[in-house]
Amino acid sequence: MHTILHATVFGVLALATLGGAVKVISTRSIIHAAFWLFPVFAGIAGFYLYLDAQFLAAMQVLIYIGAILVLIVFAVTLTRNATSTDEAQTNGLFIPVLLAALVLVYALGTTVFNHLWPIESNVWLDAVPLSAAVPGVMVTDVSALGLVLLSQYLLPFEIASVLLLAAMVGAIVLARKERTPAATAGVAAVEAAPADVRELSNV
Amino acid sequence: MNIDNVYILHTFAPEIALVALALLVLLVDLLLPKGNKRQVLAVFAALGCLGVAGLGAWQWTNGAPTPPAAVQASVHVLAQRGAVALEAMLFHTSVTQPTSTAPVLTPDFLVGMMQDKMWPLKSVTETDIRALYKAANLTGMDSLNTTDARAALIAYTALRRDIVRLPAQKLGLAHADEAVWWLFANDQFSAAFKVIFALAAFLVLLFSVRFPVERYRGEFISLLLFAAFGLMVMVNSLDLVVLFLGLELTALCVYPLVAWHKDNPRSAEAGTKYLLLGSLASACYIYGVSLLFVTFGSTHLNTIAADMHAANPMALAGLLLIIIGFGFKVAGAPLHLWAPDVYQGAPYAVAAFLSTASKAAGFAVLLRVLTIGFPHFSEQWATLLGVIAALSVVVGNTIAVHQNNVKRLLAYSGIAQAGYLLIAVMATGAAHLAGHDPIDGGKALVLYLFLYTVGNIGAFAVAGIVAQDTGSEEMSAFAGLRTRAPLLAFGMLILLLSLGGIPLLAGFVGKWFIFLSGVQEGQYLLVLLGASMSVVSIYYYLLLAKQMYILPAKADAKALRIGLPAGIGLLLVVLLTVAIGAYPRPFVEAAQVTAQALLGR
Amino acid sequence: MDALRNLAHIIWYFIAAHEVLRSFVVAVCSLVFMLVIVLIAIWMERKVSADIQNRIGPIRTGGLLGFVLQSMADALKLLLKEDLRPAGADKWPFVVAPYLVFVPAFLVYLILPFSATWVPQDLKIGILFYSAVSAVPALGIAMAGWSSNNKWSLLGGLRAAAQLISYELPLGLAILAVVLLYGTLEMKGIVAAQWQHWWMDLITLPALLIFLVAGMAEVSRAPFDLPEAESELVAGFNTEYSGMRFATFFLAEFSASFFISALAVTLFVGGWSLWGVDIWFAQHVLHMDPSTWNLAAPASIPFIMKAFWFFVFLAKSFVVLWILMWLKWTMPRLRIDQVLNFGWKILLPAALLNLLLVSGIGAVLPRLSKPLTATQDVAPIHIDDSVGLAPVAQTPPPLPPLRDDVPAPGTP
Repeated sequence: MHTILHATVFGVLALATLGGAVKVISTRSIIHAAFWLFPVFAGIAGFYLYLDAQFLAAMQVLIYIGAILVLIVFAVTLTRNATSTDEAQTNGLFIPVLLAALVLVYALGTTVFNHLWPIESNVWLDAVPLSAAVPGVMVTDVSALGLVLLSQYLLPFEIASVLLLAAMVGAIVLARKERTPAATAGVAAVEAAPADVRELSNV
Repeated sequence: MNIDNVYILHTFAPEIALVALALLVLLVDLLLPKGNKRQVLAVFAALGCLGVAGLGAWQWTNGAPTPPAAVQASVHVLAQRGAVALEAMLFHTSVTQPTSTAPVLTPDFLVGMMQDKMWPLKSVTETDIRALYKAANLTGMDSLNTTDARAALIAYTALRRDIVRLPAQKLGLAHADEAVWWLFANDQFSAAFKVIFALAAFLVLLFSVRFPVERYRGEFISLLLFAAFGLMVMVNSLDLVVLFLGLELTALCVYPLVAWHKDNPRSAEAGTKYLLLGSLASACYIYGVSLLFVTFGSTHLNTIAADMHAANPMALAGLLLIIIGFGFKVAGAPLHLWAPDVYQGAPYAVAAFLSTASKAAGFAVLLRVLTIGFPHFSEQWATLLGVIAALSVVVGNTIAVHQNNVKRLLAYSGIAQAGYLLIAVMATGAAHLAGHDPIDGGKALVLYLFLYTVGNIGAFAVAGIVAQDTGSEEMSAFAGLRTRAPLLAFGMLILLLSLGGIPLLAGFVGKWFIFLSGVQEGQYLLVLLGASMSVVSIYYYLLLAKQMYILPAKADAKALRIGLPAGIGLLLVVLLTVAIGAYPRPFVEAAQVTAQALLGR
Repeated sequence: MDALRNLAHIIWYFIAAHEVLRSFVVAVCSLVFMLVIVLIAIWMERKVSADIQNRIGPIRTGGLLGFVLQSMADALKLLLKEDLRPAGADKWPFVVAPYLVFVPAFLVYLILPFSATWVPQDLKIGILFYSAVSAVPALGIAMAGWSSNNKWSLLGGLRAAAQLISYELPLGLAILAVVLLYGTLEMKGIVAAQWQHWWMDLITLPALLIFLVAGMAEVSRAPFDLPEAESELVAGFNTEYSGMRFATFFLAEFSASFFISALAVTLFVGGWSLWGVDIWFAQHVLHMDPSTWNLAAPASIPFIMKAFWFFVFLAKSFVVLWILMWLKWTMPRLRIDQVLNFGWKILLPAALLNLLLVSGIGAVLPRLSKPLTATQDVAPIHIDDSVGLAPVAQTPPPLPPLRDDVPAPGTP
């Protein structure tokens, strides 16, 4: 009973994630590709829930669906070819890249299937006593995560905040509209650029 | 809040200073009036970088800081636990199996042994035994009666446990200093590279004073400083995820820097290209890390090394993906395609930073990851790096010959240089096989990275000054530079000859040690290839020299203005290049000490 | 009778024993509750708007039961209407979009603490669940706007996406102020803290204002109803929707409105508690002994109090909902640039400032919520080994004594 249930849940999630991912790259309409990202992200969030990582699942939905995906859809609807359904899916490198991808899939596949996974080998889990968490508190607990982030991983946490600051500075510089027309050679090219691209920076 | 502040300050002095400087620049930029006065800001930031380099040098001379007492105590306790457990086990084995030469240390056997009435140490738990078993088994030792095995087990137990089994009362913020000790290397190797990055930022900022990055000068400087900070995090970290943090920090700073002149289609294209390919490389890297994580349950290099099984395909796949990620970063041959386009589109200052400091960080991290985390795979990665090195040397040098654009020429020359540097990295791996000293390779790498960083930034700076003056990036812009700016031309000549490897200049010393390390590890073919291709490189460097010294200047050409900051920077660069070439001994010794810190353990 | 009771017990145990089934039952109950609430809210909206505009409002259906039957009649009418799909519409996104809006709007009801110990699904991440799930409708609205193949719809969808993303930040920061103050993400814990220290609501008053403004924008109610501004965009993103699909959007909107009110009550206005009056009432009128009540043990609290609290919660929520309606029907609509400017340049800094203020107060105040006893005096946590693949927790063995205290191996 339990096995069937688990297999079903896993199967549905895997189908949503992988099927969505395949559709993202195979669909000919760019906006449909964006829409198909939804099952992918939702499926990954489902995996997190399935692994009892509620916090990660919430973050996945909040960040990937709520922010990134909505912004992608937003941006795509502003591009010129949003409605076209004949975006080229392949180019001249199709065959060699396909072969390379198959080799990669084979290599990774054999690796994954031959790997001694921790579930099958209890030795792995037992021999890694580090994962032995705190009694009474699940590792997925948000407070535990917060404590670890602000104690053991305090410095990486602070580095991440510097990263966000730097990214923000960079994004503002790139997106900010010029007050004076630039005197460089590229002005003509900017004029020629699609109007919607420029408008995006105003939003 | 009983963090050992002194320890943290000592460990991260350059980093903290750099971030503070970047924030200061951002703030001052808000207050300064618009216009060229902001050039003062660049000079100020450059001087700050010099200070950061000084802090790095101070760290380097002091060596690794002493961990706080709390850390020492925990490590002490844990190391002793390892020793006690091991001795107990040896004793027990000798008692119960006196005739057996190699006891089969299965977990069941060990657990049974632990529960045995004769077991002298009740305090050693089952998990201890399993961990010991795992260490013993996975490092390929079937017998535990050698001092090496003992040392390895002690180290293993110490490293594996120290952070996670600290006394409970310290759960609050007291953990930060232990984590610092655990997550960051803080050795002379990283200190040396902190100096290199700070110097690179210093030079780039000096040269950028006259470059047309007027738009948001403050942001330009601060992003450059943040990027340097990211590089410092990268070389200092022992954990692959923290390393990724540094990698991304640098990348996120460099993407907008490359696309700085976003109105220029070439710059925008370069930014887009670097963003897409850089993201791909990051994805490869983090995928590799995830594979390592499922294999070892940790992303810490020491843990990975301790748990490494010689024939684990999953770990090998992870390592391969990580090397691909770094291969992109250092622009090794099959992964080099982005470099010429990106350098061409980026502002000169950014291209200079990207081709030197960023590349140096890539090599330093590659060396640390490979030698600390994957010594068991040294055969595999040395072979792979050998192939990349050979390809880079050939591709970079042959394509560079055909370039007319100076930036592209320098880009391809950079790819070739990456090839030479990879020979040095490879030599450290091959040394494990050949029984040689891996420090030779490390020494050559550090030395060459230093002189390459300094020299290449100078070359980019001269190219930038000329391009700004003539409005052309073609080689012909250099025509008659001898008459227009004799000092500049002479400096550039020295830098080019040094890059080409002419004796009595820095490049020769660097190449000498690289090829020497290659020869010592028996890589004759690779060294031969590198040396002969190095001759090819002299050809295209001399093509540029011909433009400067033999061809006449255009009729309407005027004298070139360099500016004081750039002039000082150039003087420094040339002096260093000549000094290393003429009297290499102190530099070689410093490189030796630096490499020793990483590889001599 | 006994047989019946036993049967009921057996069924209940069966349900309780099967987590999946229990979740299902809880979900269905929440859905029904939500539908009933929405029926009332729609009627209320019509009455309130009529009142403000000096009208009487709907009186024909249901008589005294009009507050339920009127909306039922509305729903029936919508059900019977033809479900149109424009010929040029993008089929699948058009069909899926209403559900992407509706399902999150209903899911969030699962975490609402209706009364002490009455929480449909007591999640550990609590309020974070709301933040996550409420982010999805923006996608559904953008999808609806795009797939309708209508410029009004597209503009409405884009406005909605921009508006929802912009106002999610102040909303989240206002919630964060509460979480910071009470030190827990769990809805139950947040209300319990307010129950014990009712004056804490005064500290979160600025956060309440920010939350209400951002919440109004989140559910696209006037003056923030740009996505469906009828004077400019016909009906915005749901212009092309009709019949049941339109009803789905409509339902989601009203459900979200009530939920925002209920959440405001839960986080800032004491939830089901009545600022100490409930305890006084229980002590002096009902002659109970509140000191024996324990929120961790549901059985210790009499049912009558739980029911009382439930009605307190509902009443408070409807009062807040009434305030929202009042604002809606008396305020002119903003322009889109005003909306975005207000969100980013006024509300967000205000929310950040408030967060700073609250963290300052929180640092001064003693820790009020339940301390994290479970994590404070035990060995550190090592998160290195994946957040998801957590093995069974186990007690770390005590550190062995140092070598000096241990007999060297080999000595007798």
